Amino acid sequence: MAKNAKKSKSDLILEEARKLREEKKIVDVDEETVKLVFIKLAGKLYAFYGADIREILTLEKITFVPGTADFILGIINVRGEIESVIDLGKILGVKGKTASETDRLVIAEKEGVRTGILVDSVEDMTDAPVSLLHPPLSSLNKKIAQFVSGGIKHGGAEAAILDMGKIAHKLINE
Amino acid sequence: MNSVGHKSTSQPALIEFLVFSVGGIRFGADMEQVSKISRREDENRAGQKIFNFHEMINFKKIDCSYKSPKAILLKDCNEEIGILVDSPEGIISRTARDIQPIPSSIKLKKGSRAIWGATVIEDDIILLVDLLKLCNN
Repeated sequence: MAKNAKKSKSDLILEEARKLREEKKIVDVDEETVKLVFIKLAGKLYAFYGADIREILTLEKITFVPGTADFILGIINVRGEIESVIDLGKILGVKGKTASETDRLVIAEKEGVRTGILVDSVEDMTDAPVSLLHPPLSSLNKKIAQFVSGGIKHGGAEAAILDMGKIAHKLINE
Repeated sequence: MNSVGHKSTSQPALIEFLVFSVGGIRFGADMEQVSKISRREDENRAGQKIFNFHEMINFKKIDCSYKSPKAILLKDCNEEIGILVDSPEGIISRTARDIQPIPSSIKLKKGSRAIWGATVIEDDIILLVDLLKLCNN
């Protein structure tokens, strides 16, 4: 067979796949990355550090607990364990949530405080290069800014990265 | 060897809870605190002071109409008082192993501090409430 024979389509695809894998390897080796979990709340994109997230669940029945702060939605039973559920929208001062079947429950833990966080949806989980992170935008609403430790562009949209430690601090102090 | 073996096989004590509902939420009260469960009308006739459970425990968000009200009279309370609850449904037995504290991320306000734990029955959560603490608040 001639050395310079025309490559088949499948050869070209495999070559492209190999190239992409090599590029990924280069990123993996050279770039320090951080795991981020992107969520949507009231139409806006936010992210949590993956290290603070334990699991993501579909919505369970929330049992209301009387006499709690207005951002506490109640408690749920997760495989026999009782977890609290918070309304992140109320904490951030954006629209409060009415729980619906399409919502997701993000179980987060930081500084010994563990809680479920009700969000509209979980959009993505990814390892993002640290170089893409930037300080919180100065245009952020003050109420939101107090819980944000940075930002990142993701899929063409700006996502504020939420600091679970600051949220945990609010929970144990109110 | 024997003492270790004995400890590992000992059964935790059973605690009986009276389960009732208020505002669609199920609560459990230690039966050791309950002296009597009766109709509200009977206790009103006897001149007993009766307080609504939802007012004592700081319910704000939920409609608390009582469909099948019953008065729980307490043992060892400073005053002779009764607490009006809705739909007592029965008594359950649990061990300490079946009981969990309210998560530390939830801070309870006055009144609701009488809620001291929770237990799960058939995937449903029952809030455990100390009625004596509630009436002494």
